[in-house]
Amino acid sequence: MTESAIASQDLTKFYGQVRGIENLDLRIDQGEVFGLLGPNGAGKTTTIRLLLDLIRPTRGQVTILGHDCHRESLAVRRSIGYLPGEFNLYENLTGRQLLTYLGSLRGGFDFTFVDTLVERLGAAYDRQISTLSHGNKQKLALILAFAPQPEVLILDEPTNGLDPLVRQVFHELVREARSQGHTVLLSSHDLTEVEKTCDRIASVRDGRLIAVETVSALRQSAMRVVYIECAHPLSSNPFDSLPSVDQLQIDGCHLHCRVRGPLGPLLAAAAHFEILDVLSREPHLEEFFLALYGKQENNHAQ
Amino acid sequence: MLSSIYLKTLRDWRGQILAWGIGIGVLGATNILVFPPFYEMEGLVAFMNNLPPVFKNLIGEIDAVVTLEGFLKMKLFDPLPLLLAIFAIPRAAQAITGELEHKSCDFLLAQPIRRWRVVVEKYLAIITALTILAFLLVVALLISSLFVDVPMNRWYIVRATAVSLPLSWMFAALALLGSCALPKSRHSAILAGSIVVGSYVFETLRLFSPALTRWKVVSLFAYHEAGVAVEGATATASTTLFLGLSLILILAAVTAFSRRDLFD
Repeated sequence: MTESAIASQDLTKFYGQVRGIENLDLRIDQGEVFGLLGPNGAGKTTTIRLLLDLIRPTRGQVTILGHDCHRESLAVRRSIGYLPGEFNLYENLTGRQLLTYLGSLRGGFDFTFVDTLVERLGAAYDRQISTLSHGNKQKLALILAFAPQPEVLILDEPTNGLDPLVRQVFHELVREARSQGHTVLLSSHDLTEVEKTCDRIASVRDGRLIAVETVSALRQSAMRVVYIECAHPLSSNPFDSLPSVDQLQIDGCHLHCRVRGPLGPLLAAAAHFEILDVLSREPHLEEFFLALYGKQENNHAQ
Repeated sequence: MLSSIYLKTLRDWRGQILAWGIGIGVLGATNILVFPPFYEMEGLVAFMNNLPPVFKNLIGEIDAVVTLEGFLKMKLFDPLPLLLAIFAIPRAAQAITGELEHKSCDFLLAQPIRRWRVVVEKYLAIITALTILAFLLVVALLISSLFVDVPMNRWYIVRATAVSLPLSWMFAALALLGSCALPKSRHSAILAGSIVVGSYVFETLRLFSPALTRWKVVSLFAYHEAGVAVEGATATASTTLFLGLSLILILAAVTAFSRRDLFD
């Protein structure tokens, strides 16, 4: 059995009367890339801040590599690299000075490795940070997270403000970290982003863990939005019997629905009306959440 | 200059320390350079002895004021801790909460360092900055004293400046405690600033109204002994008091910051 890199039990944080997270039980294996998905205020950042001992749990506990995040926070922070979701860098320093400074607080970075990261991400390393764009600051923050070559990477909204090419490099870095047996926890709003990088995904909402799924299971459960245009007016009869089709809307020659799983049965049914065009897209995150949470709430109701 | 929080903080302030050092040096030099005309005024002592008691209280020892040392005590060294506090309080108030407000704290505390180390290194940077300012003041006073033909004990300048430092360090510790415990840096600046200014105003009013003397225990400036330096004595009691209070305040600051949840 693989040892847990991150494990929480009954982890709960209240800010006064306001719930941050409640009863969070999470196990993330070593060498796993784990995504934390959820809307704003869901509790993702609270969870991450508890891991870093920036805030303390109301009850429950969380460990990283077997170390309690509060009582042994120094040992925990020695083994993690962290990218905050919202941050400001020290504007009066250059990127190099920033890395020198923060590196010195943990015994120094391997600057050969840092130089490689700088080159791969195309970061503006020797310019004063106050003159950098948001994207360039994000690159520096990513370098800071990866520079210690940590056993556990905690990345809060890591691709904010990055262009597609740099995102590719980021995905490579995450894959490399995983191949070296390092664990990555990343939080994101972007389902596509998470799908590309993660092995498993946890969905959180209102401070509670809603579901933990592998990406492949999520793909199965996620409903695609499909538009079909046919040469002849459609009738609902052949589609009503398809169990994978939901929210069917037919307007003359146009069909709009959601489909879970393969599109084959839907296309076979539509073929009777001579298909002119098919558009299919991944659901937006909001749609995914609505479907997922709707399912959870229905389960609770039952 | 980037190998520790202490050095990085001093590096961030280097321009401000220089500007304040020049300002405070010019202020000190001006006080020395304007003294000779005052000193040479005929009948000055007789005039001051005829002042109403309220003003005599304000001036203090008349015979001492007509010496350069006494003049500097009244014009410069009595309010010097207040001047240094004006430098120290905003910086101490920003030291911890400012990092939170600026959203740079997460990077700092994601490193394997104890929170007490952040507080202590920031405090050491503040007291180093204050000591540098005091040093620049002493240099300016000693240089300007070469240009006036008035007898003076130059060791007095060093002693009186040194006596002023512990009180300013304590004010910095007070603001730093606020920074560690209060949600916004402006709260700690207002709190510490109010205590310092209130204490100074009270001490000034006390000179006008001896009835207030029974309450002098509440005034921190009442323990500031710039005067003893004139007499060549050391301000051991006040220095011990201020250093002791600073230590207590820093311990409280460390405790508050160590227990604090860090979020906006």
